[in-house]
Amino acid sequence: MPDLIGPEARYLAALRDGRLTFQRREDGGTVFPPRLVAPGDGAPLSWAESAGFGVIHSITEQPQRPPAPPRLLVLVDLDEGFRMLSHLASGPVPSIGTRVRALIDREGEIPSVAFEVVP
Amino acid sequence: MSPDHAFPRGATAIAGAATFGVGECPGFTALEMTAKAGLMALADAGLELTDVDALFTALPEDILGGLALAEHLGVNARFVDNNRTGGSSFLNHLMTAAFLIDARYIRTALITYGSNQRSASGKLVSALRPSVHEAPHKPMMPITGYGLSAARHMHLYGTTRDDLGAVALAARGWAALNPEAFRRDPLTLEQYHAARIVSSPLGVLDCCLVTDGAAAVVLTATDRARDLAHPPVAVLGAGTMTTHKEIAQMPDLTVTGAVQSGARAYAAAGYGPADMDMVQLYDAFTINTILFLEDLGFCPKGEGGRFVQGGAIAPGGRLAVNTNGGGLSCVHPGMYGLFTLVEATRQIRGQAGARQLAKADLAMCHANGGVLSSQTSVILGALETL
Repeated sequence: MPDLIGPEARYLAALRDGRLTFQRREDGGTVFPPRLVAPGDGAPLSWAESAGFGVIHSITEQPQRPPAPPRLLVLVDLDEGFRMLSHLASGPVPSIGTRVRALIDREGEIPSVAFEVVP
Repeated sequence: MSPDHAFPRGATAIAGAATFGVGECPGFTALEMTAKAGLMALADAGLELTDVDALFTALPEDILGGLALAEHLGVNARFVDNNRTGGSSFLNHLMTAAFLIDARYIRTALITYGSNQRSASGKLVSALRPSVHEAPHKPMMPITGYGLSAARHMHLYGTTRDDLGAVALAARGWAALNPEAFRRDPLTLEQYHAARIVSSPLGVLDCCLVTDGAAAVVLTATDRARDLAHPPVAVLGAGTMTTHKEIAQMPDLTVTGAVQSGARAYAAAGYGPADMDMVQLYDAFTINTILFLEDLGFCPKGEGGRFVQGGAIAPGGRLAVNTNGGGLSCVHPGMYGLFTLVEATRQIRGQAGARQLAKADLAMCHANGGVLSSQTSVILGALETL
Protein backbone atom coordinates (compact mmCIF):
# COMPACT_ATOMS: atom_id res chain seq x y z
CA MET A 1 0.00 0.00 0.00
CA PRO A 2 1.72 3.22 -1.10
CA ASP A 3 1.76 6.32 1.08
CA LEU A 4 -1.20 8.48 0.24
CA ILE A 5 0.79 11.67 0.73
CA GLY A 6 4.27 12.76 -0.27
CA PRO A 7 7.14 13.31 2.15
CA GLU A 8 6.67 17.09 2.35
CA ALA A 9 3.00 16.78 3.36
CA ARG A 10 3.91 14.07 5.87
CA TYR A 11 6.63 16.28 7.38
CA LEU A 12 4.28 19.25 7.63
CA ALA A 13 1.52 17.12 9.19
CA ALA A 14 3.95 15.92 11.89
CA LEU A 15 5.08 19.49 12.49
CA ARG A 16 1.46 20.56 12.82
CA ASP A 17 1.25 17.88 15.56
CA GLY A 18 4.29 19.38 17.31
CA ARG A 19 6.91 16.88 16.12
CA LEU A 20 10.05 17.85 14.14
CA THR A 21 10.82 14.91 11.89
CA PHE A 22 13.63 14.05 9.49
CA GLN A 23 14.73 10.95 7.61
CA ARG A 24 17.47 8.40 8.11
CA ARG A 25 19.28 6.11 5.72
CA GLU A 26 19.93 2.52 6.81
CA ASP A 27 23.62 3.40 7.18
CA GLY A 28 22.68 6.11 9.70
CA GLY A 29 23.06 9.16 7.46
CA THR A 30 20.41 11.85 7.84
CA VAL A 31 18.33 13.45 5.11
CA PHE A 32 16.53 16.80 5.28
CA PRO A 33 14.35 18.23 3.79
CA PRO A 34 12.29 15.06 3.36
CA ARG A 35 12.69 13.12 0.12
CA LEU A 36 11.14 10.10 -1.59
CA VAL A 37 14.49 8.28 -1.53
CA ALA A 38 17.98 9.23 -0.40
CA PRO A 39 19.51 11.89 -2.65
CA GLY A 40 22.42 10.63 -4.70
CA ASP A 41 21.87 6.89 -4.59
CA GLY A 42 18.15 6.33 -4.11
CA ALA A 43 18.61 4.35 -0.88
CA PRO A 44 15.47 3.73 1.20
CA LEU A 45 14.65 6.15 4.01
CA SER A 46 12.86 5.83 7.34
CA TRP A 47 11.40 8.60 9.47
CA ALA A 48 12.76 9.73 12.84
CA GLU A 49 11.96 12.50 15.31
CA SER A 50 14.44 15.17 16.31
CA ALA A 51 14.94 16.22 19.93
CA GLY A 52 15.16 19.76 18.57
CA PHE A 53 18.60 20.72 19.92
CA GLY A 54 21.47 22.03 17.85
CA VAL A 55 24.11 24.72 17.33
CA ILE A 56 24.21 27.86 15.23
CA HIS A 57 26.21 27.13 12.07
CA SER A 58 25.92 30.69 10.78
CA ILE A 59 23.93 33.81 11.60
CA THR A 60 23.05 37.08 9.90
CA GLU A 61 21.46 40.14 11.52
CA GLN A 62 19.07 42.26 9.48
CA PRO A 63 18.28 45.70 10.96
CA GLN A 64 14.68 46.81 10.45
CA ARG A 65 13.12 50.23 10.34
CA PRO A 66 12.65 51.31 14.01
CA PRO A 67 10.91 50.52 16.25
CA ALA A 68 11.00 46.98 14.81
CA PRO A 69 13.91 44.99 16.29
CA PRO A 70 16.55 43.48 13.99
CA ARG A 71 15.76 40.09 12.48
CA LEU A 72 18.17 37.20 13.11
CA LEU A 73 18.30 34.55 10.39
CA VAL A 74 20.26 31.41 11.23
CA LEU A 75 21.41 28.10 9.90
CA VAL A 76 21.14 25.52 12.68
CA ASP A 77 22.93 22.17 12.74
CA LEU A 78 20.61 19.79 14.61
CA ASP A 79 22.27 17.22 16.87
CA GLU A 80 20.89 14.43 14.69
CA GLY A 81 22.95 15.68 11.75
CA PHE A 82 20.80 17.88 9.52
CA ARG A 83 20.70 21.62 8.86
CA MET A 84 17.76 24.03 8.79
CA LEU A 85 17.32 27.66 7.84
CA SER A 86 15.40 29.40 10.60
CA HIS A 87 15.21 32.53 12.73
CA LEU A 88 15.83 33.42 16.35
CA ALA A 89 13.66 35.58 18.52
CA SER A 90 15.15 39.07 18.59
CA GLY A 91 17.73 39.82 21.23
CA PRO A 92 21.51 39.90 21.58
CA VAL A 93 23.24 38.33 18.59
CA PRO A 94 24.65 34.96 19.65
CA SER A 95 27.88 33.75 18.08
CA ILE A 96 28.37 30.82 15.75
CA GLY A 97 28.48 27.61 17.80
CA THR A 98 25.89 28.76 20.37
CA ARG A 99 23.48 25.99 21.50
CA VAL A 100 19.86 26.48 20.53
CA ARG A 101 16.60 24.57 20.78
CA ALA A 102 13.60 24.35 18.50
CA LEU A 103 10.31 26.15 19.05
CA ILE A 104 7.63 24.69 16.81
CA ASP A 105 5.09 27.19 15.53
CA ARG A 106 1.99 25.10 14.77
CA GLU A 107 -0.28 28.05 14.12
CA GLY A 108 1.14 29.64 10.97
CA GLU A 109 -0.23 29.05 7.50
CA ILE A 110 2.76 26.76 7.09
CA PRO A 111 3.93 25.22 10.39
CA SER A 112 7.56 26.09 11.04
CA VAL A 113 10.49 25.80 13.44
CA ALA A 114 12.11 28.80 15.09
CA PHE A 115 14.97 28.50 17.59
CA GLU A 116 15.96 30.07 20.90
CA VAL A 117 19.28 30.14 22.71
CA VAL A 118 19.50 27.40 25.36
CA PRO A 119 19.79 29.31 28.65
CA MET B 1 39.48 10.50 -21.25
CA SER B 2 37.58 12.78 -18.90
CA PRO B 3 34.29 14.09 -20.31
CA ASP B 4 35.67 17.59 -19.67
CA HIS B 5 37.90 17.08 -22.70
CA ALA B 6 34.84 16.42 -24.86
CA PHE B 7 34.18 20.17 -24.81
CA PRO B 8 34.93 21.46 -28.33
CA ARG B 9 38.01 23.49 -27.42
CA GLY B 10 38.36 26.52 -29.65
CA ALA B 11 35.79 25.26 -32.18
CA THR B 12 33.52 28.22 -31.52
CA ALA B 13 34.12 31.91 -30.97
CA ILE B 14 32.38 35.07 -29.95
CA ALA B 15 32.04 37.06 -33.16
CA GLY B 16 29.86 39.87 -31.85
CA ALA B 17 29.25 41.48 -28.47
CA ALA B 18 27.22 44.42 -27.25
CA THR B 19 25.65 46.14 -24.29
CA PHE B 20 22.64 48.43 -24.35
CA GLY B 21 20.87 50.67 -21.86
CA VAL B 22 23.41 50.19 -19.07
CA GLY B 23 22.33 52.20 -16.05
CA GLU B 24 18.91 53.61 -16.74
CA CYS B 25 16.83 52.83 -19.78
CA PRO B 26 13.31 54.14 -19.19
CA GLY B 27 10.84 53.73 -22.00
CA PHE B 28 11.99 50.28 -23.07
CA THR B 29 10.56 46.94 -22.01
CA ALA B 30 12.90 44.14 -20.93
CA LEU B 31 12.07 42.27 -24.14
CA GLU B 32 12.89 45.30 -26.28
CA MET B 33 16.19 45.79 -24.47
CA THR B 34 17.01 42.11 -24.96
CA ALA B 35 16.24 42.34 -28.67
CA LYS B 36 18.16 45.61 -29.08
CA ALA B 37 21.33 44.22 -27.48
CA GLY B 38 20.98 41.19 -29.76
CA LEU B 39 20.68 43.33 -32.88
CA MET B 40 23.70 45.40 -31.81
CA ALA B 41 25.79 42.26 -31.23
CA LEU B 42 24.87 41.02 -34.71
CA ALA B 43 25.84 44.38 -36.23
CA ASP B 44 29.10 44.23 -34.28
CA ALA B 45 29.82 40.85 -35.84
CA GLY B 46 28.83 42.01 -39.32
CA LEU B 47 25.97 39.52 -39.41
CA GLU B 48 22.28 39.88 -40.19
CA LEU B 49 19.23 38.78 -38.28
CA THR B 50 18.62 36.26 -41.06
CA ASP B 51 21.91 34.56 -40.10
CA VAL B 52 20.60 33.62 -36.65
CA ASP B 53 19.36 30.06 -36.32
CA ALA B 54 19.42 29.62 -32.54
CA LEU B 55 18.25 31.87 -29.70
CA PHE B 56 19.24 31.73 -26.06
CA THR B 57 17.74 33.91 -23.35
CA ALA B 58 16.30 33.95 -19.82
CA LEU B 59 14.10 36.99 -19.42
CA PRO B 60 13.61 38.29 -15.88
CA GLU B 61 9.86 38.17 -15.53
CA ASP B 62 8.71 35.98 -18.44
CA ILE B 63 9.49 32.32 -17.87
CA LEU B 64 8.63 31.67 -21.53
CA GLY B 65 10.73 34.63 -22.66
CA GLY B 66 12.53 32.56 -25.28
CA LEU B 67 9.27 32.29 -27.17
CA ALA B 68 8.61 36.01 -26.81
CA LEU B 69 12.09 36.79 -28.18
CA ALA B 70 11.63 34.41 -31.14
CA GLU B 71 8.35 36.13 -31.96
CA HIS B 72 9.75 39.65 -31.48
CA LEU B 73 12.77 39.09 -33.69
CA GLY B 74 10.85 36.85 -36.09
CA VAL B 75 13.76 34.46 -36.16
CA ASN B 76 13.08 31.06 -37.65
CA ALA B 77 15.27 29.38 -35.04
CA ARG B 78 16.16 25.69 -35.21
CA PHE B 79 16.77 25.81 -31.49
CA VAL B 80 15.48 28.04 -28.68
CA ASP B 81 16.96 27.65 -25.22
CA ASN B 82 15.26 29.26 -22.24
CA ASN B 83 17.29 27.38 -19.62
CA ARG B 84 17.26 29.24 -16.31
CA THR B 85 19.91 28.64 -13.68
CA GLY B 86 19.88 32.21 -12.38
CA GLY B 87 22.73 34.54 -13.27
CA SER B 88 24.80 31.67 -14.65
CA SER B 89 22.14 30.92 -17.31
CA PHE B 90 23.94 32.69 -20.12
CA LEU B 91 27.23 30.87 -19.64
CA ASN B 92 25.28 27.63 -19.70
CA HIS B 93 23.63 28.85 -22.90
CA LEU B 94 27.09 29.39 -24.36
CA MET B 95 28.10 25.83 -23.44
CA THR B 96 25.04 24.39 -25.17
CA ALA B 97 25.52 26.60 -28.21
CA ALA B 98 29.19 25.58 -28.51
CA PHE B 99 28.26 21.90 -28.66
CA LEU B 100 25.45 22.52 -31.17
CA ILE B 101 27.67 24.62 -33.44
CA ASP B 102 30.49 22.10 -33.27
CA ALA B 103 27.98 19.39 -34.21
CA ARG B 104 26.91 21.55 -37.17
CA TYR B 105 23.30 21.51 -36.03
CA ILE B 106 23.26 25.31 -35.78
CA ARG B 107 25.55 27.99 -37.29
CA THR B 108 24.84 31.24 -35.47
CA ALA B 109 23.68 31.47 -31.86
CA LEU B 110 22.41 34.72 -30.39
CA ILE B 111 22.66 34.81 -26.59
CA THR B 112 20.96 37.89 -25.21
CA TYR B 113 19.44 39.30 -22.02
CA GLY B 114 18.03 42.60 -20.84
CA SER B 115 16.12 44.00 -17.92
CA ASN B 116 14.60 47.36 -17.09
CA GLN B 117 14.23 46.54 -13.41
CA ARG B 118 15.66 49.81 -12.14
CA SER B 119 13.22 51.90 -14.18
CA ALA B 120 10.30 49.47 -13.86
CA SER B 121 10.41 48.48 -10.19
CA GLY B 122 13.46 50.05 -8.58
CA LYS B 123 14.14 46.76 -6.80
CA LEU B 124 15.98 43.59 -7.60
CA VAL B 125 13.67 41.22 -9.46
CA SER B 126 14.61 37.78 -8.17
CA ALA B 127 13.49 34.50 -9.68
CA LEU B 128 14.00 32.70 -6.36
CA ARG B 129 10.86 31.09 -4.92
CA PRO B 130 11.19 29.83 -1.34
CA SER B 131 10.29 26.31 -0.21
CA VAL B 132 8.00 25.55 2.75
CA HIS B 133 11.17 25.27 4.82
CA GLU B 134 12.33 28.82 4.07
CA ALA B 135 9.13 30.75 3.45
CA PRO B 136 7.80 30.98 7.04
CA HIS B 137 11.03 32.68 8.15
CA LYS B 138 10.65 35.41 5.51
CA PRO B 139 14.35 35.52 4.70
CA MET B 140 15.31 38.33 2.31
CA MET B 141 16.75 36.31 -0.51
CA PRO B 142 19.23 36.26 -2.03
CA ILE B 143 21.14 38.47 0.46
CA THR B 144 20.40 36.28 3.50
CA GLY B 145 22.17 33.38 1.85
CA TYR B 146 25.24 35.44 1.03
CA GLY B 147 25.27 37.02 4.50
CA LEU B 148 25.27 33.54 6.08
CA SER B 149 28.12 32.45 3.81
CA ALA B 150 30.13 35.60 4.55
CA ALA B 151 29.62 35.26 8.32
CA ARG B 152 30.85 31.67 8.16
CA HIS B 153 33.87 32.64 6.04
CA MET B 154 34.79 35.28 8.63
CA HIS B 155 34.35 32.78 11.46
CA LEU B 156 36.53 30.10 9.85
CA TYR B 157 39.20 32.15 8.12
CA GLY B 158 39.37 35.52 9.86
CA THR B 159 38.08 37.37 6.82
CA THR B 160 37.16 40.95 7.78
CA ARG B 161 34.88 43.76 6.68
CA ASP B 162 38.03 45.52 5.46
CA ASP B 163 38.56 42.59 3.08
CA LEU B 164 35.00 42.83 1.77
CA GLY B 165 35.52 46.57 1.46
CA ALA B 166 38.66 46.02 -0.61
CA VAL B 167 36.49 44.18 -3.16
CA ALA B 168 34.01 47.06 -3.30
CA LEU B 169 36.79 49.64 -3.67
CA ALA B 170 38.50 47.66 -6.44
CA ALA B 171 35.24 47.42 -8.40
CA ARG B 172 34.73 51.16 -8.05
CA GLY B 173 38.30 51.79 -9.15
CA TRP B 174 37.70 49.90 -12.38
CA ALA B 175 34.31 51.56 -12.89
CA ALA B 176 35.99 54.96 -12.72
CA LEU B 177 37.85 53.96 -15.90
CA ASN B 178 34.69 52.79 -17.68
CA PRO B 179 32.43 55.49 -19.13
CA GLU B 180 29.58 52.98 -19.32
CA ALA B 181 29.65 52.16 -15.59
CA PHE B 182 26.73 53.34 -13.45
CA ARG B 183 28.67 54.22 -10.27
CA ARG B 184 31.94 55.99 -10.97
CA ASP B 185 32.32 58.38 -8.05
CA PRO B 186 35.31 57.65 -5.81
CA LEU B 187 34.69 55.29 -2.88
CA THR B 188 36.72 55.26 0.33
CA LEU B 189 36.98 52.56 2.97
CA GLU B 190 35.44 55.06 5.42
CA GLN B 191 32.38 55.44 3.23
CA TYR B 192 32.23 51.68 2.88
CA HIS B 193 32.17 51.18 6.66
CA ALA B 194 29.59 53.94 7.12
CA ALA B 195 27.11 52.32 4.74
CA ARG B 196 23.97 50.78 6.22
CA ILE B 197 24.11 47.07 7.09
CA VAL B 198 21.47 45.04 5.25
CA SER B 199 22.28 41.48 6.32
CA SER B 200 25.41 41.30 8.45
CA PRO B 201 28.22 41.32 7.61
CA LEU B 202 26.95 42.68 4.27
CA GLY B 203 25.99 46.34 3.89
CA VAL B 204 24.60 48.36 1.03
CA LEU B 205 28.04 48.72 -0.57
CA ASP B 206 28.58 44.94 -0.46
CA CYS B 207 25.56 44.51 -2.74
CA CYS B 208 25.46 44.66 -6.50
CA LEU B 209 23.64 47.57 -8.08
CA VAL B 210 20.07 47.47 -9.30
CA THR B 211 20.26 48.93 -12.80
CA ASP B 212 18.74 48.53 -16.20
CA GLY B 213 20.92 46.97 -18.84
CA ALA B 214 21.20 44.48 -21.64
CA ALA B 215 24.02 42.41 -23.09
CA ALA B 216 24.41 40.00 -25.97
CA VAL B 217 26.99 37.85 -27.71
CA VAL B 218 26.96 36.10 -31.07
CA LEU B 219 28.60 32.68 -31.14
CA THR B 220 29.60 30.92 -34.34
CA ALA B 221 32.27 28.53 -35.62
CA THR B 222 35.77 29.96 -35.14
CA ASP B 223 36.68 29.29 -38.77
CA ARG B 224 33.66 31.29 -39.90
CA ALA B 225 34.31 34.04 -37.37
CA ARG B 226 37.75 34.62 -38.89
CA ASP B 227 36.02 36.20 -41.90
CA LEU B 228 33.76 38.47 -39.86
CA ALA B 229 34.17 42.01 -38.54
CA HIS B 230 36.48 41.39 -35.57
CA PRO B 231 39.15 38.86 -34.65
CA PRO B 232 37.37 35.87 -33.09
CA VAL B 233 37.39 35.44 -29.31
CA ALA B 234 37.66 31.69 -28.96
CA VAL B 235 35.76 29.62 -26.43
CA LEU B 236 38.55 27.44 -25.07
CA GLY B 237 36.77 25.66 -22.28
CA ALA B 238 33.69 25.60 -20.10
CA GLY B 239 32.26 23.72 -17.17
CA THR B 240 29.33 23.93 -14.80
CA MET B 241 28.30 22.61 -11.40
CA THR B 242 25.10 22.75 -9.34
CA THR B 243 25.41 21.99 -5.63
CA HIS B 244 22.03 22.99 -4.14
CA LYS B 245 19.14 25.39 -4.49
CA GLU B 246 18.52 26.74 -0.98
CA ILE B 247 21.34 27.94 1.26
CA ALA B 248 20.61 25.38 4.03
CA GLN B 249 21.49 22.63 1.58
CA MET B 250 24.82 24.07 0.43
CA PRO B 251 27.35 21.32 1.22
CA ASP B 252 29.86 23.83 2.68
CA LEU B 253 28.94 27.51 3.08
CA THR B 254 32.46 28.60 2.18
CA VAL B 255 33.17 26.30 -0.78
CA THR B 256 31.23 26.77 -4.02
CA GLY B 257 30.71 24.61 -7.09
CA ALA B 258 33.21 26.90 -8.81
CA VAL B 259 35.79 24.36 -7.63
CA GLN B 260 34.32 21.85 -10.08
CA SER B 261 33.14 24.23 -12.80
CA GLY B 262 36.55 25.89 -12.86
CA ALA B 263 38.44 22.59 -12.92
CA ARG B 264 36.29 21.41 -15.84
CA ALA B 265 36.89 24.62 -17.78
CA TYR B 266 40.65 24.54 -17.13
CA ALA B 267 40.82 20.88 -18.18
CA ALA B 268 38.96 21.61 -21.41
CA ALA B 269 41.07 24.69 -22.20
CA GLY B 270 44.45 23.24 -21.25
CA TYR B 271 45.21 26.36 -19.23
CA GLY B 272 45.30 27.02 -15.50
CA PRO B 273 44.66 29.99 -13.24
CA ALA B 274 48.25 31.24 -13.52
CA ASP B 275 47.73 31.66 -17.28
CA MET B 276 44.75 33.99 -16.96
CA ASP B 277 45.23 37.67 -17.79
CA MET B 278 41.92 38.60 -16.21
CA VAL B 279 38.98 37.26 -14.25
CA GLN B 280 35.49 38.49 -15.05
CA LEU B 281 33.24 37.10 -12.33
CA TYR B 282 29.72 37.58 -11.07
CA ASP B 283 30.11 39.76 -7.98
CA ALA B 284 26.52 39.82 -6.75
CA PHE B 285 27.99 40.53 -3.30
CA THR B 286 31.56 41.27 -2.22
CA ILE B 287 31.91 37.81 -0.64
CA ASN B 288 31.37 36.25 -4.08
CA THR B 289 34.60 37.70 -5.42
CA ILE B 290 36.53 36.28 -2.47
CA LEU B 291 34.88 32.84 -2.72
CA PHE B 292 35.36 32.56 -6.49
CA LEU B 293 39.00 33.70 -6.46
CA GLU B 294 39.63 30.90 -3.95
CA ASP B 295 37.56 28.25 -5.69
CA LEU B 296 38.88 29.07 -9.17
CA GLY B 297 42.43 28.54 -7.93
CA PHE B 298 43.78 32.10 -7.70
CA CYS B 299 44.54 31.70 -3.98
CA PRO B 300 44.13 28.97 -1.34
CA LYS B 301 40.82 28.43 0.46
CA GLY B 302 40.42 30.96 3.22
CA GLU B 303 43.02 33.34 1.81
CA GLY B 304 40.66 35.30 -0.45
CA GLY B 305 40.21 38.14 2.01
CA ARG B 306 43.93 38.68 2.36
CA PHE B 307 44.43 38.15 -1.39
CA VAL B 308 42.26 41.14 -2.32
CA GLN B 309 43.90 43.53 0.17
CA GLY B 310 46.14 46.43 -0.85
CA GLY B 311 44.55 47.03 -4.24
CA ALA B 312 45.55 43.58 -5.51
CA ILE B 313 42.50 43.26 -7.77
CA ALA B 314 42.06 47.00 -8.45
CA PRO B 315 43.52 48.78 -11.51
CA GLY B 316 47.29 48.29 -11.44
CA GLY B 317 47.03 45.32 -9.08
CA ARG B 318 48.46 41.85 -9.53
CA LEU B 319 45.25 40.30 -10.91
CA ALA B 320 42.70 42.16 -13.03
CA VAL B 321 39.22 41.31 -11.73
CA ASN B 322 36.01 42.75 -13.19
CA THR B 323 37.63 45.38 -15.34
CA ASN B 324 34.27 47.00 -16.20
CA GLY B 325 33.43 47.62 -12.53
CA GLY B 326 31.37 44.44 -12.18
CA GLY B 327 27.91 44.06 -10.77
CA LEU B 328 29.01 46.14 -7.78
CA SER B 329 29.76 49.33 -9.70
CA CYS B 330 29.05 48.94 -13.43
CA VAL B 331 25.76 47.20 -14.13
CA HIS B 332 23.43 44.69 -12.52
CA PRO B 333 20.09 44.23 -14.25
CA GLY B 334 18.99 41.31 -12.04
CA MET B 335 21.33 38.84 -13.71
CA TYR B 336 24.90 39.81 -14.58
CA GLY B 337 26.45 36.66 -16.05
CA LEU B 338 26.37 37.67 -19.70
CA PHE B 339 28.29 40.88 -18.99
CA THR B 340 31.34 38.80 -17.99
CA LEU B 341 31.54 37.49 -21.57
CA VAL B 342 31.10 40.94 -23.14
CA GLU B 343 33.79 42.56 -20.98
CA ALA B 344 36.28 39.73 -21.63
CA THR B 345 35.57 40.03 -25.36
CA ARG B 346 36.23 43.77 -25.30
CA GLN B 347 39.49 43.27 -23.39
CA ILE B 348 40.72 40.47 -25.66
CA ARG B 349 39.90 42.58 -28.73
CA GLY B 350 41.71 45.59 -27.24
CA GLN B 351 38.57 47.74 -27.18
CA ALA B 352 38.49 48.54 -23.46
CA GLY B 353 39.71 52.14 -23.63
CA ALA B 354 41.16 53.58 -20.43
CA ARG B 355 40.77 50.27 -18.62
CA GLN B 356 42.46 48.20 -21.36
CA LEU B 357 44.90 45.63 -19.96
CA ALA B 358 48.39 45.54 -21.47
CA LYS B 359 48.14 41.78 -21.87
CA ALA B 360 44.62 40.51 -22.45
CA ASP B 361 44.77 37.15 -24.22
CA LEU B 362 43.12 34.79 -21.74
CA ALA B 363 40.07 35.37 -19.59
CA MET B 364 38.31 33.35 -16.94
CA CYS B 365 34.62 34.27 -17.03
CA HIS B 366 32.60 32.95 -14.14
CA ALA B 367 28.93 33.28 -13.26
CA ASN B 368 26.80 32.32 -10.33
CA GLY B 369 23.11 31.51 -10.03
CA GLY B 370 20.74 31.32 -7.06
CA VAL B 371 22.40 31.50 -3.63
CA LEU B 372 25.85 30.22 -4.67
CA SER B 373 23.85 27.33 -6.18
CA SER B 374 24.82 27.15 -9.85
CA GLN B 375 28.37 27.88 -10.99
CA THR B 376 29.55 28.08 -14.58
CA SER B 377 33.04 28.90 -15.83
CA VAL B 378 34.05 29.79 -19.38
CA ILE B 379 37.58 30.42 -20.61
CA LEU B 380 37.90 32.78 -23.55
CA GLY B 381 41.05 33.46 -25.50
CA ALA B 382 42.58 35.36 -28.38
CA LEU B 383 43.29 33.32 -31.55
CA GLU B 384 46.96 32.98 -30.52
CA THR B 385 45.87 30.95 -27.47
CA LEU B 386 44.24 28.21 -29.58
